[in-house]
Amino acid sequence: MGKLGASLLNFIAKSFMANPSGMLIVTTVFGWVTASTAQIISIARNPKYTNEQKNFLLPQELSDAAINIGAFFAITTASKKIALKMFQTGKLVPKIVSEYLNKNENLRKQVGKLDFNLDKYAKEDKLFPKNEYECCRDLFTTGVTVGAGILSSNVITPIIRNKMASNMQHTYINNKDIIEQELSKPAKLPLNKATSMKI
Amino acid sequence: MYLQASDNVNMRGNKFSKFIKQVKQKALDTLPNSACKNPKDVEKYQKYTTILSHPAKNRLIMGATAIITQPTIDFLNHDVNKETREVSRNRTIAKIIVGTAVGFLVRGSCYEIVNYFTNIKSKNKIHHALLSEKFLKSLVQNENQLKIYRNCLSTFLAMLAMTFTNYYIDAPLTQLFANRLNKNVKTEASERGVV
Repeated sequence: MGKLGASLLNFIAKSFMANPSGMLIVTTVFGWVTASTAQIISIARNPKYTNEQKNFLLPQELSDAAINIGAFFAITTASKKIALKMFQTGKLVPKIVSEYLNKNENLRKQVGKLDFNLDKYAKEDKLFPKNEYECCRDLFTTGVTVGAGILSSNVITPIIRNKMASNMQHTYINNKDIIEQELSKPAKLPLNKATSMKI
Repeated sequence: MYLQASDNVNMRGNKFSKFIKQVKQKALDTLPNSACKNPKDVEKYQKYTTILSHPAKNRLIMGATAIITQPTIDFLNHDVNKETREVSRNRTIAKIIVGTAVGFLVRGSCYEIVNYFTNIKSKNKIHHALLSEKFLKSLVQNENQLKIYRNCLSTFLAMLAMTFTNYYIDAPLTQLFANRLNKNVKTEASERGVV
């Protein structure tokens, strides 16, 4: 392994090992950017689609990419943050952790405060039920991230992208009709007057 | 002592961040304090977390749910005509099936490669080629950390690999598959007996 490779491995370990759900978000967003670009090029080059179909499918794919990335990033990041905060502030913890908190009046008072972070106690206090806390926290956070991802990309995105794409298609069809009607109208002005006005 | 323009900006910034913090605190206060069941088997919980963040299995979960919801949503979109609706649904089906299959294979292969090169039990140095030197101690001591590291690294590698497979495998295969599905779609003209 060269120096560059070694530092890349260290970077991945440092950035994502403590935050596996964050890794899911970053890689999924990047994956969508490349996948959507490939699909857009493929539709544009497909000769089997009619122009009208392309005028729905292209905006559909573009809206899909934009909304998918935006919604996925916004919804999953927010859900992940809320889920993590619930655990870190002691709002939702396994019973064994709740018992640990109840034993200490000072800690019990801090439960639910934004600055309170149980991760710190998991690291520093040997009496803290670290394994139970961390396994529940990680499963809950990752589960919420996956669930939010499903909701955003498989339900919210298709509904919004279809609305956007059909609006774009309607605009295209209306404009096309207006242009065709205008072109089919006989010229009202005499030829010499029209040409002089153009000039 | 005079206040400077930058102080004003800082004060505004502080006020804003205080306000945001208050909003967050209020939102957190609305959630009830609750205690969930104690995990009977910590290892089982860790196993579920690893499955959910496993790159290939995660792709499969996303694909399986997508094939149920997305084509249905496309087919119920009455803002476009029947023909476009069917073409759109077929493209979505093709895209999901191809994307999930290729994604599963690429991510799964990357995971196997990473597994092979992060085998800490092996004495052969080649099997340690993809282990992070800085975090070697924690990877050796904690098997769960090693699993998470493998997931992260293989997802990262899969992301790089899919930059190419998206263009050279996914897109052409989707087009081929969608065209096959679209063979049965009756155009408005053919329905009217024009074609």
